Amino acid sequence: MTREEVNKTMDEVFQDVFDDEGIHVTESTTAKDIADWDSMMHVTLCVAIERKFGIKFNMDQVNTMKNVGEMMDIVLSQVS
Amino acid sequence: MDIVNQLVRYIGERHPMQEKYLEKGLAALSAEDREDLEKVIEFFAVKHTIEEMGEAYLVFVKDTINETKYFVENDYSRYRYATLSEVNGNVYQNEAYMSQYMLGLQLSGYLWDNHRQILHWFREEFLGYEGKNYLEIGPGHGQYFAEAMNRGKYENYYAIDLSKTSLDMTKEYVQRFAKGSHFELVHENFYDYDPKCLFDAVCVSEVLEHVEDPYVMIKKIVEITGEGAHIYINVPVNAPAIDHIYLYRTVDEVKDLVQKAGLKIIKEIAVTGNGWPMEKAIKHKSAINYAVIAVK
Ligand SMILES: C[S@@+](CC[C@H](N)C(=O)[O-])C[C@H]1O[C@@H](n2cnc3c(N)ncnc32)[C@H](O)[C@@H]1O
Repeated sequence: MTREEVNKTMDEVFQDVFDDEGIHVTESTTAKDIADWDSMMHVTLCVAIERKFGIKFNMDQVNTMKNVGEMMDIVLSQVS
Repeated sequence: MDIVNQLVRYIGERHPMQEKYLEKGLAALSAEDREDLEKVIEFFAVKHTIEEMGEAYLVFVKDTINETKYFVENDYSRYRYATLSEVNGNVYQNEAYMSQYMLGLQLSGYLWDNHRQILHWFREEFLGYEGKNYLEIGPGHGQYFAEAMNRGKYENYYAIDLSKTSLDMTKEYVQRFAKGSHFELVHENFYDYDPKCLFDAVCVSEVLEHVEDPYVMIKKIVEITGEGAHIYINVPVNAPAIDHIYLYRTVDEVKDLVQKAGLKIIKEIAVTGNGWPMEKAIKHKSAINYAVIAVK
């Protein structure tokens, strides 16, 4: 999977989780850019990404990832 | 930088999700709440550094997130643990862990909108009644107990907790913050409690999700209270945490339980965990704090 493909799929996951088709994420998108992105939704999001890509985040990653770019790094390190 | 900002900054630098949340929480604090929070942090600062307080809060938050992940992965159907024996040793009887956990929980009483709203409601709505004997089950950090001693109109105040750490913390907190001095702390599981008096008021806040059979606990509360007694019950719905073993899926489930035990609900409040409108929280199965005042 390329980075662009991951980004595109991320968009779908975000739109689905936050119930908003207007959302488009970039590498630098953070929780501050999406009003509903709080701790609880962060977990929902992480689980949705895990399921979509067939990957696994460890708890340290869940707690420290700062932006979508970091999420994409983790996804890319686990998908072929 | 004042002590509150120092603490919030320490946490935010280590946890991006908390940074956003706490900035919002701090901005929403009234001057009075902020002053109270400062006093609480100063009180903890006698024994702990800002870093230790920040770490305690982070332990509480991270463990809650970990349990939330389990909950979401299991399609919101269950908490990880279901029995007291699974959590008692690791949490309640583990002094190092429990003291961090209770410190974190207490800070959330100011920094989290939902916890703060519920605390205000408790103060304003529950502490106006009168009577002789007041009991709190599971005081934890002791903040509710101290509030009751300061504002309540009772002669005797009792608190029972199965955690020695909680009782030690409650004692220190009350000695520092409560005006009255007549109180008694009982180290026991409430299910085994055999009190020598009837109570006119009982506070059971964030405890009924820590027990295997909440109906039996409420029935026991009914047994040890006098006619007309006021009972404050605060329970989180869909709120995973390291020691939550009983899952309430809806506010109505809690309501039914209280009414089934023979109590009459006279006041209630429901607050969503993240400030969302109620319908949205229900749809996403995110946490709701529900509190009632019931009369026997
Ligand atoms: C989450 S704390 C609640 C602290 C405080 N009341 C609040 O609302 O923030 C739960 C407390 O209940 C105590 N507890 C749990 N089950 C209990 C039981 N069966 N009998 C007595 N105390 C219990 C725990 O040890 C802990 O101190």
